[in-house]
Amino acid sequence: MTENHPHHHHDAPISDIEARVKRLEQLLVEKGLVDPATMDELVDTYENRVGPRNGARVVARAWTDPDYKRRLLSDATAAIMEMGYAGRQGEHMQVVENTAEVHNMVVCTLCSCYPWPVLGLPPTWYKASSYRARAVKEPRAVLQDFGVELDPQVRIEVWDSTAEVRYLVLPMRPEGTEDLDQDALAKLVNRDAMIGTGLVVTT
Amino acid sequence: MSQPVFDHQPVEDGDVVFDAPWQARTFAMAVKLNEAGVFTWSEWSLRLAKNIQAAESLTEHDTAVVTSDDYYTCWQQTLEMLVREKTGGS
Repeated sequence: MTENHPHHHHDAPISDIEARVKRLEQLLVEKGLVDPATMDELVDTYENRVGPRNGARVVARAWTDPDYKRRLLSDATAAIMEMGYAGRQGEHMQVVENTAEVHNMVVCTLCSCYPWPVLGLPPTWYKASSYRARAVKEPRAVLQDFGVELDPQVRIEVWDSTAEVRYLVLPMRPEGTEDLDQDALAKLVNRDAMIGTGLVVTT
Repeated sequence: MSQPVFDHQPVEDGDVVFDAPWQARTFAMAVKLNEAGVFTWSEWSLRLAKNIQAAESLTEHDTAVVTSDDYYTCWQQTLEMLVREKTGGS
């Protein structure tokens, strides 16, 4: 009669991890190392305020302002800060430019390093074992999984992020967008294009 | 507020930043402990990477970290280890 046994719970793994997290938070609060209110604020920031729209604005400006693009490619951290995007995990930025000859793609093979100020927190696939292993070994096949078919002549460069350097891809500006202003261009730029697993296209 | 407030940011393609509230809590704890100087971010990344690698060596590599749940479980494990080492807590 296990059904009625009061101690027989089957929601093991998830409730176990929830309990561990709760226990640790209590401990850290008791020690005065974390404050639940500032944690709430932090979570809200990454759930609602910081995300790939920031990066899209950087890209759109680089497409329309050649001086800005030059600054962005030579000192990305400073150029991104000019736009007001700075802080955690954006301290050492490098921007890599896609051209007709080279397509850049970003991975963190060891964990999940990612430029938070311009892209927010990484999508789950970026952190997954499969992407982290395959991006380096078979980038062209990975791109195909994302629906990106590159000309065979285009060279693929894979950049491995670390705690020290974070990369942002400057995608190619699509044809036929000469009349668009920065705001309209920014709307076209998607997250995957700035990781290098996508392209910017006009629909 | 030092961060400018924008329109609701995506999370594109139906992705959510955190699948469950506990993932957000463990994420926030690590960031806050780093900011409190308990550990550096390089130290954090190194230890997280080790735990992910350990998980990947225990099973068929590609099945180790698939979901947000898998990832933040490694994250929480890393946090527990570092807290134990750095603060002597249990």
